Amino acid sequence: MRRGLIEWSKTELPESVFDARIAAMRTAMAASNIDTLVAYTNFTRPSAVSWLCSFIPYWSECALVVPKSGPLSMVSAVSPRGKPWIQSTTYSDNLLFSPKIGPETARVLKEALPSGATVGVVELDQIPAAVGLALKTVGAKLVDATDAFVTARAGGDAAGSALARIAAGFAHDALAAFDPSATDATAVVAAVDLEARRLGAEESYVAIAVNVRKDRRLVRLEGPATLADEFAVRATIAYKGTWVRMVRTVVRNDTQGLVAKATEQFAAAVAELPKLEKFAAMDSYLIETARTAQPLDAVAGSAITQAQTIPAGGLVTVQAVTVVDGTPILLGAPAGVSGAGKPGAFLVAPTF
Amino acid sequence: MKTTTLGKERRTKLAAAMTANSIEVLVAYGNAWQGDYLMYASDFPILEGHGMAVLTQDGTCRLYLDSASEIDRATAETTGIEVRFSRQIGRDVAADLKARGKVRMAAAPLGFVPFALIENAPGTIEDGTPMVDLCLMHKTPAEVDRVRKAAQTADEAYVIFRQAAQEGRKQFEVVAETESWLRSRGVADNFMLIGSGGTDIYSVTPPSNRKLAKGDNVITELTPSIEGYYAQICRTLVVGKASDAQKRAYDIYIEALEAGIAAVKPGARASDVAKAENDVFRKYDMGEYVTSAYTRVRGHGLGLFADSKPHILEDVQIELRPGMTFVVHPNTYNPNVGYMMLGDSVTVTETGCEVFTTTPRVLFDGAA
Repeated sequence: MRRGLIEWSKTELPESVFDARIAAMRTAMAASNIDTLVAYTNFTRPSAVSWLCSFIPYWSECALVVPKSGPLSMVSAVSPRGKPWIQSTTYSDNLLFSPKIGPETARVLKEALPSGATVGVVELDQIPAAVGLALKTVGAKLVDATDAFVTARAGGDAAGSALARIAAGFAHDALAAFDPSATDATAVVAAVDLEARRLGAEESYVAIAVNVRKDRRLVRLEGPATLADEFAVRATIAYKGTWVRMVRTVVRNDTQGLVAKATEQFAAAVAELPKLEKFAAMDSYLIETARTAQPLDAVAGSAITQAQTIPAGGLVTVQAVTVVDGTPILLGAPAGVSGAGKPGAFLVAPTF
Repeated sequence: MKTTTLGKERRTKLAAAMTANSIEVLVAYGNAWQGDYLMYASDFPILEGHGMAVLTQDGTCRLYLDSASEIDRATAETTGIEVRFSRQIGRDVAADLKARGKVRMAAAPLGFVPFALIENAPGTIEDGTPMVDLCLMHKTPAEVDRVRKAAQTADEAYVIFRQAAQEGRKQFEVVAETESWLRSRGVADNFMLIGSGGTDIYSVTPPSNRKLAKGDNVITELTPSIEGYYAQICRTLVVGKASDAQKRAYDIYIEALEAGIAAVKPGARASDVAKAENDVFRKYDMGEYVTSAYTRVRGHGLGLFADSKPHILEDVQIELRPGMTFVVHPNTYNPNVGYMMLGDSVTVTETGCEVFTTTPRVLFDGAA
């Protein structure tokens, strides 16, 4: 569940931002001949709905209905007692409650839609079967609206970029908060988690590789563990629906400046995004971005066989492993992709 | 996660259940909201995206995940299973099932699997939820022991929570301190909600910016996990000194909790526990406040999910058996003082009930 601060700041995300996003969505719907859009959300797939109306369910599930015109409706499986909380975090006044959101959403659609209408569902393949089967009873043409949603969101906006920079700052400060000489891995994870949440992160997932020479895979810590002289920590931070990752590798007694050398390579590769040649030369890499409902969706990487388009001028989170003088260095940071004459660059440099 | 032995035990138990029910292939679905079915089958505590484990009667397990960042973690945190990244997870699992030929298939929880799996499946996928639910509810001694340990951690964490819940602190700062303390103890996950205020508070939510003020009820349910198993404690504290009205109100919750726990024994029904709790409120003319208008459940199962079966409600007839673990919590709104919470984690034993949490059942206040 989400355990951090969830709030709708009208300073950071004024209603005009959502008006513009909904307008972009409606333009994309029209281009795809979609009469009404349905976006599903639970806290593991919140990004489509939060982009449209700010709402992030801390628990349970909801469906957002975006008609061609007029107000949005939200069907929520959260108890009606949660209405004040939902209202305080959501740009949608029409809240409906039902423990089974599929049939209730279908009812809303049946009442509103003429026969022969087309209902587009963001990530139709991925929504729960119970919801999908209920939507089939509407009698409308049910189509996948993922491409329309990606199109609407592709340009990004200033508010989204600002939130990503704040999230990046949180991730950096959280990773700067631990003592690099520590040997107790739980102390490191606790320090990162505390700083991220204290700053106001909506969520913080901390992963750690306690000995990168032995195993460079980042895991969630359960129980005690001792840190080797080379270890890495990843902070995955959410802030008001925007997710980023940052990775810090610690090399104790780094007299040869291995981390600095690796960071230079990393920065050079980021500068050339969306070109991937420099990342391809590294041991491994992964590039993620917010496209649909999953907060961070893989678009390219050494283990990704079907790469997606990396949007020029867009925001991505990059992770990479490079080996410098025999030492694996794990790196990660959110970055802006080059575009409009500007090179790619970190939102906040992963230097500590 | 260090659950190799426990994970193997679970998978063996599940495979036996499949054999008994003539299910040849089981698809266990999970995400970070509801990860227990997936965890039971694959030993993987999913955090991002969603995943499906395809399990056969011989215990072979193939895990599909649609988050690329989870792949490394899954290979590192599980043993003896095959892990695959799949962007089109529903279609890929459907293709996997198709490749197995004509087999009897089930999925759990069926309603949550990706729509594409149902639409592209090679035949009917039966609902395996009741079969897996029985495995989840009826725990082995090793599983019960993990819940017991999680309850001890919940007790300790509540001490930290009480220390953090000071006047002027914001709710999210209190939660941050509690969460960080749990990480310092190697606790990977915690389900936690909070509320603060008076008669304006009708439920708990994620933490807000609201500052704790003198006289506030501060309510929480705190649910840490040990090796994936959750235990819960619910308590209420008052910032500053508790009023007589708050103390009088809380006495009803204490009486209700004790009545509920007294009803926990083998052969009893979940409904008996709920009725015992609710009868106390009715006795004090508060019957209205044990309805769904004011409260959701009077307790719920604990295990690999923080809110699992059985739900403790007057219309739930699930029989209580040794090895079941759940929280008894008569949490509800009180019109005089606001929402109050009190709950303890328990297990059904051969002769009655063992209460895991040991934090005193008192209304904590600034003087406590």
